[in-house]
Amino acid sequence: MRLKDFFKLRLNQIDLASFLLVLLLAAAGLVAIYSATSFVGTESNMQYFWKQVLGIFGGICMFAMLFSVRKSFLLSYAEIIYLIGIVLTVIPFVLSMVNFGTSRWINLGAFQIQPSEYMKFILIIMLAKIFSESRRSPFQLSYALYPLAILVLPAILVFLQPDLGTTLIYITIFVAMLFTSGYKLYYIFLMAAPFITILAAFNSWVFLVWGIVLAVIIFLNHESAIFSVGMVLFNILLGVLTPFFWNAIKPYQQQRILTMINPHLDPMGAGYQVIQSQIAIGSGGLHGKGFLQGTQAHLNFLPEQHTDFIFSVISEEFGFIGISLILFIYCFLVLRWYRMAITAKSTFSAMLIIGGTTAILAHIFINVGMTVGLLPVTGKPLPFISYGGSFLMTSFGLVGLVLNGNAE
Amino acid sequence: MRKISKNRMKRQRVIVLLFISLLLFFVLIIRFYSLQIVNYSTYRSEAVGNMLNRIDISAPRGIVYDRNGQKLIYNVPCYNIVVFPDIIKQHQGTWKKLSEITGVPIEKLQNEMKRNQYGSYRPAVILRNIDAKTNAVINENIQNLPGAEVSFDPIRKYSNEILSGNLLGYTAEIKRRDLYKYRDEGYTLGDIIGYDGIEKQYEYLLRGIKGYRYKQVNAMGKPLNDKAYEQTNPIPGSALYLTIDQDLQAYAESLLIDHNGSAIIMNYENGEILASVTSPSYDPEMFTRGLTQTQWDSIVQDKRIPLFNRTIRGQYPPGSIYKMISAIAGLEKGIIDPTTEFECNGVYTMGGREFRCSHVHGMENLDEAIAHSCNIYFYNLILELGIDDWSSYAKEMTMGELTGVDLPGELAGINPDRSFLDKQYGRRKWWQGTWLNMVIGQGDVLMTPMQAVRYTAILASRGKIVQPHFLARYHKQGEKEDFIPEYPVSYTRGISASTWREIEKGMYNAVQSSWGTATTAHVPGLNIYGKTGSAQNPHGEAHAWFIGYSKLKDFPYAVAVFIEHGYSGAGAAAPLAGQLLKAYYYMRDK
Repeated sequence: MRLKDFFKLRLNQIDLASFLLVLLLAAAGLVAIYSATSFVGTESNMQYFWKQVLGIFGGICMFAMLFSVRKSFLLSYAEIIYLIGIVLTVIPFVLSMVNFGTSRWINLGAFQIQPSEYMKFILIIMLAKIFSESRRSPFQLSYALYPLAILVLPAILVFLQPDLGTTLIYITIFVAMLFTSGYKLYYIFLMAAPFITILAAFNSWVFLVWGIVLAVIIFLNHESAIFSVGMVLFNILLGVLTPFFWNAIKPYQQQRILTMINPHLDPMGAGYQVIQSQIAIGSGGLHGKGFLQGTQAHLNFLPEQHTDFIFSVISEEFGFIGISLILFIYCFLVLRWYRMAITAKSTFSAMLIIGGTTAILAHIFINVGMTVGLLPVTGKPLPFISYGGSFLMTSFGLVGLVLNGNAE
Repeated sequence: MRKISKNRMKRQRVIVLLFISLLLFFVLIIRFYSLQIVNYSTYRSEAVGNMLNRIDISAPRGIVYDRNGQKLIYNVPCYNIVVFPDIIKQHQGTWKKLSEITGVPIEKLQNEMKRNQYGSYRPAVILRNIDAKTNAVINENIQNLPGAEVSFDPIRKYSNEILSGNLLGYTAEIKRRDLYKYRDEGYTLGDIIGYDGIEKQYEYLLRGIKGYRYKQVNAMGKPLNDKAYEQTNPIPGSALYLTIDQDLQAYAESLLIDHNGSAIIMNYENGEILASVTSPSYDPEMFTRGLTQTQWDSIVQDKRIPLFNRTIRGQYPPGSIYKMISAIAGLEKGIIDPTTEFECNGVYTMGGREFRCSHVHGMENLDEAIAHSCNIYFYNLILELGIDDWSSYAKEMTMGELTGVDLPGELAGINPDRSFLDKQYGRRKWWQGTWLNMVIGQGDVLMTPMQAVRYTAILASRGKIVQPHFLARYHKQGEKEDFIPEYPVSYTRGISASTWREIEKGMYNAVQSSWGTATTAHVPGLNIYGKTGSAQNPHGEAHAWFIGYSKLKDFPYAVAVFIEHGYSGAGAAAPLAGQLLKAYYYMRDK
């Protein structure tokens, strides 16, 4: 076997518009990072800027690799790649048990790798293969069992790290692919139901209404009686047990969960970050305070301003106009990529596109939602813009996967 | 190679995804619109509030003058060495150089920084009140002393003519426990507050209103530049004009220098105090500049208790100066008249106990009894008068009540009555023998020198009750006219002119007859009336008292002198009172 069997670079088939817009976003990121890392009274710390430039080149390499890898190769070796991915995800976990360090990274001396990032590609590839080759009808409940198992293994590993944000992104990728593959909506509803039940259980009236809605939907869907009754009972039992579980955990654990849902409960912790971020955004106004003029960013009020809260820096300095422009580019890209899924030549390609695009969309929404205080602070960076080589490679790689799906 | 199947993707569902993503972006843009456009001004001001830190500018305290416009308390510049903890941390060499310049060990300077610092960006004082030479040396070498600076602060300076810490009080940085107490009045750590005396009493007038300016700071509170936004200037405290005459006060201090005691001279027409000395006193500047341990030890361990303000907090048996109370009560109640006589043979026996007099006076009428200070006369009087009338007239003469003088911490003395004795000794556990002690101002009767001078004023003015005070007027910054506080005046009830006349006669003869006990207070031409007191006490020699006043029309001054363990009022107290009145008589015309 030669390298040519695995890769084929088809430069003429790159969707140039997407690629250039992504580079534009990366350039905007460079500007923002320059601003975020230069402080009043000191010289700008160009180290971050140049590292980010390097990261962008790394990202382009990653893009090139995932863009040119042959789909036939991916289909043939998906399971093997998946197993390697799982093993890599377990490694930092084991290491952390030994030396009590962080459990996300594998330290290779000169650089570190974060297997949960690469697991995103691997999960997309593996699920795309399963959904495109499945012999079962999407109208059977069992259609989702195998892909669910494929999801649950890495999701649990990542959740235990603990990395709630990445877990949510895996789940989002999975749900989007399951949904577009045609799986019966009723079953998707059943899968989501237990989560809604847990949330509803904290208020007895909400829980009552939700129980009725659930029961009605289940009985309208003429499944077997035992299955239907079982489903309803399962959800009710879950709802009843939730308060007991909640009261059994320690107050500081409750506090941690509540703060995750509403950061304002903890104004000096994660709440402080969100409040300062909102002040930065709000005080930017329509036009922004101007490049390098953001007081929130330059006086260090903003936390993690070159990584997780980079969007707040842009909002403060470039205002609503700048923000609208960037959100528009993101929106344009996401819609353009989803549309590619419709015209893709094969289910597998379409699935790669859906998976990749959803992953990027999820990152954008989780990050921006966090900076504006709509979502909990999970510490997820913003694709193409946030500082960090590892995540740049992920983002560019996902684009590579999407455009690979679009290419012939 | 596998065969790749055709696209079986559900078209409608992808369109649903398209709409969901549109919706998500729509939600985000709405949120940004709400933050950046709708609530712009709110967040804008929060961002401004974030970056600006309020820095207080302390207001100069008010200046205190005496009645002739001489400065008793004023402000002088004081130079302190301050360090910035964050900077000096990176330049440890500065410590060594500072230590060489000032001669203070490095450890001591560093401990001072730890004690005075709050936050690493605010300057912390390490050495207060450096002399001009040190200041010059530091300013010359400031380039070589990164992290150190000389700061300028006004500091309280007290007149060198007098040493009246108890009267004027002192200022110091507010203590942590007081911070809680005065929180509502806007005091913060590091503020100067008045402790003791006038400084404490008129803190609300003297402190002024702080100014402030805003400085740009980062999230750690570190100031970025010297640019100040929105400066509001401080308003200095009010200037106080006291009733004190500094020269007389200094003279009174000199008279009491060898004694423990107190002397007060007051205008009995209006209550203005011209001099009020408690001896020994302390130098308020010691406190203002920060006490050293040695200084503190020397003050606290001083057997003469210089921190104790005898004038208003020393409660002593008044001795014979109290006899006028029973005389007034006896005359008013018709128990005695000016001609009533009792025989004194030097000792009065009651219930097997002997109550003595100083001499064998023979037959004594009221006039003679006061002038001779005959105890036996008053023993007879009280036994006929009874304790209830006696204590109610004492109350009418404001005994056992605060004088209301404008100094903090005044005590009220004791005017014992039936219920007091019941409480003190148990119901019916006391006998008439206790009366005999009380009527001559001993036993349970207690009085402060401040009460004594007011008592004298009532006697001098025939029943006018004035409130002794030190504050004549004050001037508020920015006001045209001075504020003149009004002090309440009242009159005793049920004491007739003839009674006053008889009392005066006795007090006149005490000083100005050849046979009175208080002739040592006599000053020719001043027409002084008075009464001595020598109060036995279990701690040592008798306390010496003298109260007196001048009856000259244009010289309405009452004086009270108290000398702790002075042995006799005539010997220790009366001469000082005479000299005090005489001194002021001549001084006042200057």
